[in-house]
Amino acid sequence: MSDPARAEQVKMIFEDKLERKELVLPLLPQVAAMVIQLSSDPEADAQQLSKLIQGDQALAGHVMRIANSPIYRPVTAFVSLQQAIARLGIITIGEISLATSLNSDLFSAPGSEKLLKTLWHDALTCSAWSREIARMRRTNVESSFLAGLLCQIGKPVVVQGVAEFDLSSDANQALLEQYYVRAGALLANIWQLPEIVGHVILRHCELQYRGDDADVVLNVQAALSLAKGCAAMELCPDIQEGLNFYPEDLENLEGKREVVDAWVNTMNV
Amino acid sequence: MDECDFLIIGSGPAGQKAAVQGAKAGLNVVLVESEPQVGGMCVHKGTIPSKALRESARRYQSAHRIFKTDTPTELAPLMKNVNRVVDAHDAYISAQLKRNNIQCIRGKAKFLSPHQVEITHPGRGITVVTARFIFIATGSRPRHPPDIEIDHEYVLDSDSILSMNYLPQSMIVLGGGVIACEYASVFLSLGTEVTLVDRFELPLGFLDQDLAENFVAEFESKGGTFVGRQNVRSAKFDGVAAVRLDLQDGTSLQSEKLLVAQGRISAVNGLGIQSTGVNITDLKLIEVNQYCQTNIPHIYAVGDVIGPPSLASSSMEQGRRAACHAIGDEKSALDEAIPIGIFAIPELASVGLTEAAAIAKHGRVLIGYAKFKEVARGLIAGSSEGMLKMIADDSGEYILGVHIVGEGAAELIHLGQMAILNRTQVEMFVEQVFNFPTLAEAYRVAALQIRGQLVSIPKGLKQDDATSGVGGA
Repeated sequence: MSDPARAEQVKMIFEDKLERKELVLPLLPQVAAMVIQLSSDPEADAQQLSKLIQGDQALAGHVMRIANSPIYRPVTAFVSLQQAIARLGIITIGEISLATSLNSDLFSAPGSEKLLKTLWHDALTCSAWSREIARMRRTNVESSFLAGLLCQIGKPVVVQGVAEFDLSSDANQALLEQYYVRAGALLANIWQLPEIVGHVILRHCELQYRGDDADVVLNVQAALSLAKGCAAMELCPDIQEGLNFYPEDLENLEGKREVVDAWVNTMNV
Repeated sequence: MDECDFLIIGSGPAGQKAAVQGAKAGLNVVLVESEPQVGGMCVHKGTIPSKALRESARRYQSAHRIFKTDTPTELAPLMKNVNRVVDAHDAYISAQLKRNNIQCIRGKAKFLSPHQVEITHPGRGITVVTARFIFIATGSRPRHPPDIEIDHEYVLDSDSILSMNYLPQSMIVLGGGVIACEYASVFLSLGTEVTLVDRFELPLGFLDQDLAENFVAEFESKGGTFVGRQNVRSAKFDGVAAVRLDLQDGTSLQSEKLLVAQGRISAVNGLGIQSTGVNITDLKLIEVNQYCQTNIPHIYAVGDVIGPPSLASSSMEQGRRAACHAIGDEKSALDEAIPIGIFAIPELASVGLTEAAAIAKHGRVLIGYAKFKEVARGLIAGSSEGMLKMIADDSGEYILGVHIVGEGAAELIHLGQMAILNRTQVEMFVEQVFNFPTLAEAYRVAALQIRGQLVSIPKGLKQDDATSGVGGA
């Protein structure tokens, strides 16, 4: 069977699975669920999150490594998780845990491991930019970070879903672009992600979107462009106008690139 | 290059009114706004949203009192009402500007010369406009103390406070001005544990002391904490999801969020004012005369950029009067009897002299009090904690000041304002008939108390009762 014909066949199979909600989806890690809950519920138990991290040896080790990295500039190295939590704060530790637990290892796509890692790197970069933009615009920082991290979570879902068919990278890419939004929306639904994340997953490609949570959608749209390497001054006029960023604001934003890159590199250890 | 008669920089209350006044005189008016919507900070970040949130808080408080509803944890549902009000107000202003053929341009303005302004549009290049008259109405922005880092996540200012998704369990509010007290009391009503920290003994120091004390008593009776006479040594996110505030006396406070509301500064940066020769004070305020005219005759400045009283109401009037002056329709200077309304919970309002100022100016004054719990409408409305204070000259004839705390204060104050402006005699409040039951009755009660201090003391009445309202030497 020719590659285009095979790609068409895979597309039909994938479409069918998506329609029937029969895609194999990863479980939302408990730590990630807890962090998401913390970000929208002040009653959520920070102590419990701390225990969860401590109970996961690999995660705890990873959190410690990141907490001790230069980006968080500890005066002396943290020697315990409790100390790191006390010094950096449960929300920062939560962010680290979220970025760590929702990593590319959640998905299994033999032969596409490199692509999964790239996608995860892009997600981290987008979340970091989204957070900086939210700060500058006085919009909600926590929601923007989370939405930036998860707006394209459908991409690894598609990569995982089509991995077994061994398509060419072009065919894979075409399927990825066509289905990642729907796959992401399905995952958001199953993982019961906050409504705002669902809106961003569905709307982050619509530059003229003005509906619910438009502010966060716009932050993420700009963050996606910046994460792809676009300079702040080169953001498309619609985005600049939407953000209401003037040349001096764009310069300030561009000035955050070093901070963003450093944070992403730290998270992506 | 575009040309116009009036170029207004900023579409807040002052800018809008200047623009409308110019347009009504048949002039070609251009209004420049740097934000996506017209209305300025008043509509989008300040006056309107904070009052709308207050209204939501009051409704919640009533529902909670009557139906024992749960404490809300999310701010988003409350903000929906706020957004609805803001959108409606924005639509109203836009329609008004359109109806008056005012050309609105979105962009940031910068003077190139005294008559020329360059407008940078976000993502859309630059245009230059030449104008016969220019009005600077760029408003103000929150003041950020140099030693406190505002990250808009844990440490917020009055622009970012409403971006929160959920209600924090605890919050420290730094400052003792209008914004600080309004937000402190609103979040307290919504169930947040609030500590208000100020460097003075009482917050709202510009108000009559009785009002400030009443506010603190009410705030504390509802579970809030006021920490006065304290300077802040440092404030930062300390870990474990809390912000730590170290005070001058060595004590520390901790809360989930910190709101820094230590005043506002005029938004003149980036305007290129140096290209015009307009004088700016040491406090970065634009210097103007009684007509809001700068030292460069065709350039006016109105609203927060010229400093106090920095009220939306006075800004509107400054805008209107400045525009009238520019077109040769000279109005008298603004009267001093401008009412102040503070939309905290409880509401506060004031007009005329405070007791201290009246004593300083007149020596001896007579004071009448009316407690809302002694007024039928106050009891019906459940605002029995309120009170009205009337200050009269020592002859008991003329009203020098009126100060009110309690629901409806900001509306009720206008009766006092009219009395001061028209030099209405105190006796009028005794002799005239008011609707019953209304809070206007409080004026009558206070006026009666003042009159009672003028007549001979009836037999059986204690001296203290009859003279308790006398202030001053």
